Amino acid sequence: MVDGTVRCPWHHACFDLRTGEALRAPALNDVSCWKTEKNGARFRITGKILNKPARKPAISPETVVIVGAGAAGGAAAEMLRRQGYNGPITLIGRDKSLPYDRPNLSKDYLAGNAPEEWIPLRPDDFYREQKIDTVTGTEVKTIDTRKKQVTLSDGRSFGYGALLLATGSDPVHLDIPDYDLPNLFYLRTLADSRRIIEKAKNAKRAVVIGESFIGLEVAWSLRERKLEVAVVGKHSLPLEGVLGREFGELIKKTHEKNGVKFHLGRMPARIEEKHVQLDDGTKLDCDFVVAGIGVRPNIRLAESAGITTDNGVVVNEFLETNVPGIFAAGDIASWPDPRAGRIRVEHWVVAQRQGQTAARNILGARERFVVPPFFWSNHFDVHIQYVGHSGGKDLASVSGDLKAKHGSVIFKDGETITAVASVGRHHENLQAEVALERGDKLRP
Amino acid sequence: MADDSSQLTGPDFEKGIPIDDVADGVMLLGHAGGEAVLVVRRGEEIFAIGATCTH
Repeated sequence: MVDGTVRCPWHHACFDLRTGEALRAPALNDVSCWKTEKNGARFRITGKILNKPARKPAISPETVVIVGAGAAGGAAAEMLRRQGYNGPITLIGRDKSLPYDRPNLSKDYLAGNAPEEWIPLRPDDFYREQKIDTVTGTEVKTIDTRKKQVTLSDGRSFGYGALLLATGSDPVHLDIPDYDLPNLFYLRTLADSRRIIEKAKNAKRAVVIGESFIGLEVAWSLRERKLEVAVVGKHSLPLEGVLGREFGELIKKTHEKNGVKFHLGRMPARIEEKHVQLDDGTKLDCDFVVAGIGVRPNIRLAESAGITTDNGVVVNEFLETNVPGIFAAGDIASWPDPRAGRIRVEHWVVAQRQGQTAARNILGARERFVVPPFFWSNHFDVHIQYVGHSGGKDLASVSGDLKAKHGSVIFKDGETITAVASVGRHHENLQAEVALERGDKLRP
Repeated sequence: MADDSSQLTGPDFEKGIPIDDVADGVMLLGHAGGEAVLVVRRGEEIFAIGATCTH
């Protein structure tokens, strides 16, 4: 419990103690709320509160258009309605599918451990019931900030009162010859994940290029499918840059123990139909290749509309761009974090929470985005939670025992704690989130 | 917050409990109407919300 809220230790969702409202993603639904009664020295619950009072937003734009139907866009659309906004909402996505659980695409879904029905965040009728107009498989080509209008790849135009840009990011492609080989896969969308699953069904060996989160989660998932998996990465230790040496070693050992072979400090020189040739001449036989070497934010639309960009769409603490009425959230947003300064991160929960904050601010809430970034990542039985933002040059110290999968790495810039990465210590990680948020000095 | 409500534990809040069982600022897990419920006391106020994270 923190002030007037209750937090879930698993993925740091946040609920209002008074109302049960889901204030912060990843939870999207409220928990129940109960009437209580005190009688002398006793207390009891008298019933569930079923009808919550209707809300009225401070500002109500004529229409709201959301560009991008991923984590941020979907969460924003829902939040607009939850805040009592009654005007038209149009959610436009390049993806053919309505918002879905993207973190699962490299984890249990790819591993074959998550049923199809877990993947959509909402059933299709949810959007009809909520009167959220959805346009899928269609890209927004231009924004006319003077006419307040967006034009789509199919020629249609939509006027907006307020606009949210949540265009996300796309995988970086390998810079090698014949990169569009049919046996080379990238993972971003549900369709991508399904293509890899289809390929894996009749394959024995895979090579993963990239030793970061997506690459290693793909390696784990393909091992779950009993494929032989080799991981090629340019760094000498996986994830060291983000999580530090100790976690890097734990993750590498965990993957090795589960049969993943590493080829670190290497990059691919060629990809052939049945093998990958590395830059030192090594040949790795395989049936297909998955590359996860990072993503690039989709900021061209904002740029071409004259919105300020700098390694992302530049927003203020309210997630509004330099053009009033145009907000940005998720992978593309570069925002002033109260602790780390101006940053841009590519985490699911951050995107959802920014979508929620942007929605509230579209309705005039003037809410600063101050939550420390948070993500989780699973590697076999090692489930990592990370809160905060470490610049990479910070000093890391270990508390507890990482090898026993019960400990944390604490990152410090001088005396200030910038981030905490934990395994098997949910409450410690949650407490770190609260302390970072409050600006408390954390105990090392 | 719990990730599973299939097994209800703790007191039945509909039957009532002594107020002193809920310490200030501490969460108490019990149930009401067949659902896991968290009760929290903040000074003189007592709140009760569903105990199962909706994520």
